[in-house]
Amino acid sequence: MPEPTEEEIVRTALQEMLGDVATTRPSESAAELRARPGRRRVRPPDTKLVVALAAALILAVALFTAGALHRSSRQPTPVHRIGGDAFSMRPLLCFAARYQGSATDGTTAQVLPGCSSASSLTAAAIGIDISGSSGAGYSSNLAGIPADDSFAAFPSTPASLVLPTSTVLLNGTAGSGPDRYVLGPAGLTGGDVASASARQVDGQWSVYLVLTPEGATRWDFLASQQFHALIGVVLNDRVVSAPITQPTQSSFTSFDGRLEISGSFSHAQATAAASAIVGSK
Amino acid sequence: MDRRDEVAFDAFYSASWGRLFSQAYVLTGDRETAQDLTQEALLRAWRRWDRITGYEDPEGWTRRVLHNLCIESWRRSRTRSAHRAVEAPTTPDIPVHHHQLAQAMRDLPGEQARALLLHDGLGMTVRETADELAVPEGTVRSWLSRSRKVVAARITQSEQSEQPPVRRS
Repeated sequence: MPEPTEEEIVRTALQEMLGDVATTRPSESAAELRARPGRRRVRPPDTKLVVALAAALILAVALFTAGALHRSSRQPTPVHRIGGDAFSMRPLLCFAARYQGSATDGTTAQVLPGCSSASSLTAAAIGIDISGSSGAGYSSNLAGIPADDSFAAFPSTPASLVLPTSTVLLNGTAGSGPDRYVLGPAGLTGGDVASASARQVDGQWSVYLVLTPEGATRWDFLASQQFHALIGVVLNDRVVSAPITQPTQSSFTSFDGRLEISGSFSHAQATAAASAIVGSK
Repeated sequence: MDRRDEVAFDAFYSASWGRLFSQAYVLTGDRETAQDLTQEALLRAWRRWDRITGYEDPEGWTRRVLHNLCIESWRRSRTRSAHRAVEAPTTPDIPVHHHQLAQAMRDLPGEQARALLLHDGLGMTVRETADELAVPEGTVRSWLSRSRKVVAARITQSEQSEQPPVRRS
């Protein structure tokens, strides 16, 4: 039998996929669609103009979110040490200003002040909204929440004082912007992780963790407290990622001991983070 | 509003919905997104129905809007991926081969994905495809041969190995 040509392969695959779902029924009737609020003929029927405007809008939104969300979406630094790393996951309380003092970071332990109410990253302040249309997942006010300036007087917590029970002030990774992070006591530590690996879902690399039974209970407790809020992923004295908990869900559901930190990891970053977590205690 | 418009639109809606949805599904690889974008394109068609109904091909107009919406949604989801999220691992509720084809389409430049869908998926001629995309026929031919190579390699490669191919970044 002759090998199928590229055209035949692609044609068959496309037509099969189109055919497989062609009998899907709409979830909304034509009458319901017509009854949606909004005026008819609000824009000129010039698709090029509409597309150009939409593209400009998307670009503006992309630039805005890329800048503003920078501080919440950290690129993890590849970790070369295989053992001896300290891993924890902690509630992220607020973003903090860069250190303005003269003392070397972390020469002394300091009692940190609380986050100001304007800067507090509570679920209410973040205001996750999942009602948006077109499958965009969710939107939030995260970009509008300021960093707390009062931390400018406090050096970051040194690695030796990043204890599970303490509140800590930590840097992000290289290139993650000027802000720092204030995080509460650890809700999960390296001993709670049974395995960690890099995984690809929907074309995006993520870090996939399987927890011990005790870890699963601790994680559900932390994650339910931080539902629709942020959790800092801490390796040694750095915040490598600050994900939002279940941002596309309307209510908290148990993780059953498995969790996936997804986002804009490259394969190498996800693998490095996974190996550092697995090598930590 | 004219009752005849409503009847005509409803007939158009039921006749074209499945075809439009399946195209959005190929371009997005996600049922829910495909549903939303199909509804959005049809809503836009309804809002200027008196103009479109005079065109030769109302479905063609709606399809162009829909394809553009789908390709815009790729850019949005790339932007969105700057957010990190921690969630329970999900298994896509769509078959693996659908996922892989949609993924391969999404990695193409938007215009090339549209050309491939129109020509190889919907069986339009090179001439019709060129008209719809407002580019010369030669451009369509070169897009088709380039994008087929990429997509065919991706889907045959993934048949051989369980692991989905690494996304170019």
